[in-house]
Amino acid sequence: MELLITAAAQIATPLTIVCIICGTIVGVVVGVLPGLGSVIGLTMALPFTFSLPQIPSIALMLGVYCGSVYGGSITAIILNTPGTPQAAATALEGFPMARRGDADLALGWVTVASTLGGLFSVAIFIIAGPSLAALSLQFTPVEYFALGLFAMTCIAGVSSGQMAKGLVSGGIGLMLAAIGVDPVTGDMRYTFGSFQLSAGIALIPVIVGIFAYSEMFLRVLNLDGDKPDPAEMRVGFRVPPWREWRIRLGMLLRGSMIGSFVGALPGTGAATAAFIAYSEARRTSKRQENFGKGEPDGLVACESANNAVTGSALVPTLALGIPGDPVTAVMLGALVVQGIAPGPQLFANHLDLIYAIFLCLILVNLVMFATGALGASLFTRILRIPEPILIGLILIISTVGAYGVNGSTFDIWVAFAAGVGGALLRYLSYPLAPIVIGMVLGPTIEMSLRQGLILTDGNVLAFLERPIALALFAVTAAILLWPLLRSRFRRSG
Amino acid sequence: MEKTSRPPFRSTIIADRVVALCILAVTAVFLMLTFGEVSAFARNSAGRGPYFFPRLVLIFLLIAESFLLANVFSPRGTVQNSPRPTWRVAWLVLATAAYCALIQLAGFLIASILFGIAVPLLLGRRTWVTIVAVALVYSIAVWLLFERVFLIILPASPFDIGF
Repeated sequence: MELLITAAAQIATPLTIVCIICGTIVGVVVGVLPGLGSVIGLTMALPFTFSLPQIPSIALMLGVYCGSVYGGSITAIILNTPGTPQAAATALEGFPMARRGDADLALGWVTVASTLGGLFSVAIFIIAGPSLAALSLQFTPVEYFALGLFAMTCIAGVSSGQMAKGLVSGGIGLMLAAIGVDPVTGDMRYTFGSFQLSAGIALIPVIVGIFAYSEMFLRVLNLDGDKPDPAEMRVGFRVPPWREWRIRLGMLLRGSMIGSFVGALPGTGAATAAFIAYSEARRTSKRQENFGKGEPDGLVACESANNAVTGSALVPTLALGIPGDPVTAVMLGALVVQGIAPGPQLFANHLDLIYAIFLCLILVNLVMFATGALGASLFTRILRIPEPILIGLILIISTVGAYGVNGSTFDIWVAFAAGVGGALLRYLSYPLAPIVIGMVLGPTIEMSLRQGLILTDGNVLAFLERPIALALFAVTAAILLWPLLRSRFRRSG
Repeated sequence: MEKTSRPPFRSTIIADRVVALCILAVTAVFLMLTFGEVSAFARNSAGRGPYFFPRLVLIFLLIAESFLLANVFSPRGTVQNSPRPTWRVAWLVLATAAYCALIQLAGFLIASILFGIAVPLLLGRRTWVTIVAVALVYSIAVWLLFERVFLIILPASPFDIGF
């Protein structure tokens, strides 16, 4: 209790509060702009942390991190252009909701779900941090492969009605991720002698292309058609009523748990958590027929999951000194500069610091809610800009987003090609989300499969000897086979 | 994209079949490439060579595409009702391609101002003052934000004028 009071006293300084507020606002802005993302936001904030004391610098980093994860959802909803990869799942339901004039409601759903998901992960961090860290150590490449396969089942979730096309899209995504240097042997794959292709196809330009570019190209088809009067499109922020929340509490809890679990595993990230949660929501929802048309279940699931990653991603970082992804790697660097040595002794010897981080996370999530609520009016006014002008503006900012990842004009052409291809595929009713799912999960699945084969001396059957992996394989098989078995039972019954 | 209540156009059905066949052809070519020369290290690695995983994915793709082809060539088809493509889409795609090329030739700022003016005109808007003002203000604001605040150096023009 004394340590908690000490931590609270450390947080309650004007400098720390200012760092929390500024970090969160900067994070939201960075997340909103396509192509920037959490890593760039944290990298920009890093120099400021050198001149700040320990707690305010941690507060600044956490604010940027959580804010950027949430901020990507805003452009996903308003422009169908996810600002960050983890917001790609949000676009599936958020954008249709905005198109029918309920952008304010969509922002309300994601802001509340993000805040609650983030607070849930703080609770998990407090209660089960060291246990989760110990569990994450049990994950070998075999378990990661099983988890990756499980996550791929969400392709089935987002492809209902066009299953074959969804599977083809997922395969295209996996192949796009395979272009470049083989991560195990260093051989070139499908580069055709091109220097630019040897670095592979970056994820952000593809996301910008297939979401933003293709959306703008196809929007021209409906330029003169029926759509909501811009003056009638509601701006601002609207919190959904309690009766709507009550029926989705299970969805919120499940999404938060998925995000907290996936976030604690090094090497996975918010994008994986968001798609798994979305797929689960689609599978278990009582309103499945509304998915793809602006169903809040999908928004609640993926947003609570992707923000629940923020707290639990700190578990392997702080408890084991293992950064889970580039974002936590940057944060780890900042912590080391501040004289904090992550590892098991941190929880034993510096509990006051751990409590301070908990409290910072809680405050950051609350400031994030306020930022979303107050900024929503500004964001949603974008929808009232006449479409012929808006299309050009979106293409410009998206092009910058594609370029900004690597500072390469090649990525601009990647985004353009993805946009043309994506527009054609969308026009022919191919689901595009599986392409992103394949690109996000492909490297993890391949690397873990091949590392697993090295560990087991090439024996695939040895994968089934590991209990966690076996359980994940069984759940994956059940999810894939259940619809087939159920329709067979119904026909014979 | 809004769907219409009409049945799909015949050209859309043909396009669906052509695209499915193209994907199949590309898959077959890529699969053939996986049987090419690999290094001795890769051949002997227990983790398999560089084309091990792509080969698995391509075989999976072939299986998925066989189902897809069965569906697209069935009488019902797979494509949903979509609006008829218009020349405006083609013009926008060409304008975007020109913009991407112009960024390398004339720099981001000049290319974006010209693109920001061209797109609304192509799409039928004729409020010149608004269009030019928005294109100028927006392009300069984005340039300043990324160049000066985020320090992401955008492509500059070859005219040595600072942007």
